[in-house]
Amino acid sequence: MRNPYTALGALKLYVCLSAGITGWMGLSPTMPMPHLLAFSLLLCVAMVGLVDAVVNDIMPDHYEAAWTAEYRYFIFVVLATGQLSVLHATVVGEHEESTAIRYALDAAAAVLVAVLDIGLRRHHAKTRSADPSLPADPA
Amino acid sequence: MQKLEVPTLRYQLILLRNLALLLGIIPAVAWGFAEPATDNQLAAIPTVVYIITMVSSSLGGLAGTLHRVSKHLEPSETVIRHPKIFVAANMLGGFVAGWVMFFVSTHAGTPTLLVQGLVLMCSFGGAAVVERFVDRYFPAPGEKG
Repeated sequence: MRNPYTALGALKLYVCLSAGITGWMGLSPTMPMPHLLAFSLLLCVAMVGLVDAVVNDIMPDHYEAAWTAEYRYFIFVVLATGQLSVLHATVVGEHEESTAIRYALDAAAAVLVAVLDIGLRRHHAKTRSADPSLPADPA
Repeated sequence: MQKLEVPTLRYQLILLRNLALLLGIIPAVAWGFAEPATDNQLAAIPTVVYIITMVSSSLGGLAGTLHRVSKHLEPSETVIRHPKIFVAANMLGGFVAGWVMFFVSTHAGTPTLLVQGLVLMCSFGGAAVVERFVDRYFPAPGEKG
């Protein structure tokens, strides 16, 4: 893909869906309250990230979720930490999952999205300062 | 000799807020979820968990760094003064605060799934506090400290 924003959008969609599925699968009425709280938080943040990916990357340009675009790096750092929390619980045997490595890879992908997003925004800001006719933020 | 500028009230309030966040509220949340801890709890923790905590605490520092960089993206904004010191201080502040939080929450018996989230919050707060000290004590050339 030549457009870096398209590739980043696909990665964002994957990370949010994966974290959302992790959060959804973790919700069970038999779980203790702190675990329910943790999985609910992960699910909520994944939903916010999903809204960002769908509205800012897939829907037409006149739809915009400005707040999620501004704090995208923070959303994805929180998602990475959520995946690391589940990995932590899996390692100490409190959460049953056979593919613990998935959480580590998803966390790495989420950090990659956060860093690349700021990198691309910084690049775009520099380009825009050279050519003010460019749009404010293509992502 | 250069005269030091007195920090504004708003600056002092922000600093106090960050210190309260770092030193008071988050450990209080950890103790709030506490269950009785065993004496050899730290020895029983697998090495992978320490690696995960190292990554989480670094993520807090990274989040602080990205947060500050995002504030400087607009063309009208000033550039970051001393970028190397700024990044190192952010990461170090986040790292130290994150590990403190990890040991506090582990000792308190905080539920496993909440530990890394608390580590992230605390390391973000630690990075913010250290960042303000860097801004205060490492002024740009020709600028009052």
